[in-house]
Amino acid sequence: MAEVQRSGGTQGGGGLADVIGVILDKGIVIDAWVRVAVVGLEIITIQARVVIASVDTYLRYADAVAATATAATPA
Amino acid sequence: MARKEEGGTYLYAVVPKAAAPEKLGELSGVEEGKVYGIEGGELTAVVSDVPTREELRPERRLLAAHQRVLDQVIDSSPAVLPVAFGTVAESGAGVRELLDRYQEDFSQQMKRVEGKIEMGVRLTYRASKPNLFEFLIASSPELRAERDRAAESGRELTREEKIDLGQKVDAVLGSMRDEYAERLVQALGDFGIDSKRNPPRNESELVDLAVLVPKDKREEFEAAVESAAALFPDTFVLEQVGPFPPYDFVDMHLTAPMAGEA
Repeated sequence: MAEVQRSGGTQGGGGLADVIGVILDKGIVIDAWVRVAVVGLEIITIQARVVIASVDTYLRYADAVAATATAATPA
Repeated sequence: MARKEEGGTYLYAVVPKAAAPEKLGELSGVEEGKVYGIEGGELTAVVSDVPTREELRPERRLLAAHQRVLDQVIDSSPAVLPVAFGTVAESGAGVRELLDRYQEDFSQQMKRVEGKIEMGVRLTYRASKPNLFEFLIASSPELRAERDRAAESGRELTREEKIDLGQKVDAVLGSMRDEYAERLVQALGDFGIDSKRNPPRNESELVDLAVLVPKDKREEFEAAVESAAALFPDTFVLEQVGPFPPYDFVDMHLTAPMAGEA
């Protein structure tokens, strides 16, 4: 059974990390009124967004899986 | 001489006019501006003045100020349409024009989220022994066979072979995500009016679900999350976060009225 953890919105302990990805580009978006500095945005979206499947990801997955061969005992 | 852009009106949310909370005046928003309401038809826009219309950096204190206002607004209003961070109009008149122009659309969206809050439910692989990849191998005989073949070859895999293996890992992870998401949605289905799956932030995150929950069903929903934990191995953590304003269920991309436009 998975362990359950709870945290409130920003009122609780959950904090901003939980909403950053959401409050930047969801909800009502109004063209030409959005004034968020792109430089900072890039940094923050890298932290908050998807790991898009890429060659780098595949190479990393391959290495991680290969490493299980040395760690695990054969079934 | 450099022309500095003058002050603007920062938008937080659109709420029903009747619900415009009295206590908004005591609240300070982004850059310590006093929060107030701008009425238009049956709606109120929750705003505060900002000293300039220069770009806002998504700094922690600014994001927190935005979110703090929204937290107050969801507590006091039956329906909230949250506005994306960093939205600044030229003036209050522009905001009024926006409310007029999109009156219908706002009202429609409002009906959908009335009396409801957004809760997040996130399922993450947490164990380091076995780690995520050992867990994937244990649950996929094909992947295990691939790995063993690679190990037995006794040589370093070529870049192409690695990419190929990595894609297979990604596919196994992807179908596990689908399966677990399905399981979670079913377990929470009775209480959530609607749910939306967001893309994972990292490889250990299997499911990130936003669920629209009626305010008065919150206890039942939390109990359902509690029971849903039994559906997943103990190498996982099931996190419940929220409540949030219904960001994931208000999907509106609008065009700002031009300055001076009637």
